[in-house]
Amino acid sequence: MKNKYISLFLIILALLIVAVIAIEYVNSKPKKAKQNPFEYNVDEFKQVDPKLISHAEKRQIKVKLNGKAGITTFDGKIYLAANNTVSVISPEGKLLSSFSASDDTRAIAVSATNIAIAEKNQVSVFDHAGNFGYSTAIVSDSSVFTSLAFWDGDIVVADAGKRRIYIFEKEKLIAEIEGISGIENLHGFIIPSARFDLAVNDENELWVVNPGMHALQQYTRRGALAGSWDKASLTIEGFSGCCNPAQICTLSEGRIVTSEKSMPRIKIYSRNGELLSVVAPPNVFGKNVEALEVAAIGETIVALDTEQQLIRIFEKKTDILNE
Amino acid sequence: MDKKNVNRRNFLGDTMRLTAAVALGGLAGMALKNAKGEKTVWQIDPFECTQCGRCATDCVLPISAVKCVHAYDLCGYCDLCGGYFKPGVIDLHTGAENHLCPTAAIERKFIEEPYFEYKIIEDLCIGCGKCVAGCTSFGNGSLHLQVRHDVCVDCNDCAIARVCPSDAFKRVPASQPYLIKGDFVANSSSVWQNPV
Repeated sequence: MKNKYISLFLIILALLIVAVIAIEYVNSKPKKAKQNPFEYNVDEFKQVDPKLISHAEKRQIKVKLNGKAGITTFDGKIYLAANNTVSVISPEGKLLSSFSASDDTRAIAVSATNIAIAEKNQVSVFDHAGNFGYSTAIVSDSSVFTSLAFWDGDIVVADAGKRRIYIFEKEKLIAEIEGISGIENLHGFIIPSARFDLAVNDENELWVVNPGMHALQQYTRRGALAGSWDKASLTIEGFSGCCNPAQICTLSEGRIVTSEKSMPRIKIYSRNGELLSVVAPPNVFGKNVEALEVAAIGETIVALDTEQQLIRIFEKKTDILNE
Repeated sequence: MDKKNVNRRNFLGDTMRLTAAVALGGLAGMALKNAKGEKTVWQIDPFECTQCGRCATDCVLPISAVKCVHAYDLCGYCDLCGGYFKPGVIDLHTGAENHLCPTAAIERKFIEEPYFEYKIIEDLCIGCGKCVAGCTSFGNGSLHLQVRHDVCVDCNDCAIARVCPSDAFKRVPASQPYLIKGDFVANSSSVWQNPV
């Protein structure tokens, strides 16, 4: 009889131990764990008020990118410089033409007569048939060209390595802009990483990103500061991190399209820095997306997603077009 | 042919001896494996970490052995640092109301216009990873969490590893106990398979 009670006690004890272990195991599962007081949820920054979103993604064009690449638009066509080749692509994704370029294609600009390709410290210029024209003079071995544009027939280039803007008349360097402009408290270009973009708008104004200052600055050909605005903020209204906006392009009426790194998002600002709309909120993009290089065909925004190897086409929503 | 006399006493005795032999053999095998193999320690793969905050709450120590470390090479020395400032701050100053860190374990130091250096005060850091989440989302991701081996007691069954939602806790060779960003890249072969 005594053994019977001992056995019963041991069985109950064993069951209790098993139950405690099971409860502990279930509760220690990550999804079953109680709310964490230290969790910092940044998802709210990825959500954007739908009323602010002016564009929707309409098309994706698959591309193969083996290294650095640049994209721009001209005359309703997309120009992609990548993998030693310049490809001319219709907005529907049809390859219209292509020609061989240099091994190191970092940015591209197109005018009515020429196509310019930025390499590390040099610009090579071709005609539209792909015939090589000339290369610009090498200014410095430590140059890192990140962007370029045609400006009154000359070529204006952003050099992240030397933190300067150069203006080339054909092969010859004719001007440098340091971003100091004779103003005492103007620091110059702050370029913490190789993110330094510029664009010339349809009113022939040169706009340059000063990424370390979260600023967009307009310069004259003589290097004088003609306009500037900056917006540092973790929220959708501004730019955060060390080097934003990372990429820009321009629309009509002086509007500027910005593309950011870290929290990838594409937005449209007025020439005075007022946020007008959001082209693509962060949740449109994947986890490891770098800043997308942007270009525009009318109101359509073309973005190069190097992570997913896609050209992404964002068209303005029809209800907004009708407004 | 002789047939062994099998009774309950002999059967239990044989079973006990066999069990003891297997257990001893297993122990010897494990000891041999440990003696031959390199010693390993717990570490966080910064590329797998999702900054859930469990490192602060689930370590067996009163203050977690997980601390934020700073890979200065990757830092942009931002004025508006997403790892230092709470979202929506009005002025970028070091007042307590602006700190994202619940223990004010980050020191902000002016270097030159517009650069600021951010230094982790490890004695104050509880490993919650809020600054890491901010830096990863808005900046270059130079802030990241690591198990500090001068504090960690290297539990066999790490309490944080058990609850880590992204399996970022891994055993790494004790000779290379840290996975510092910059020195270490994602999917590095130096990270051993997670035994949990």
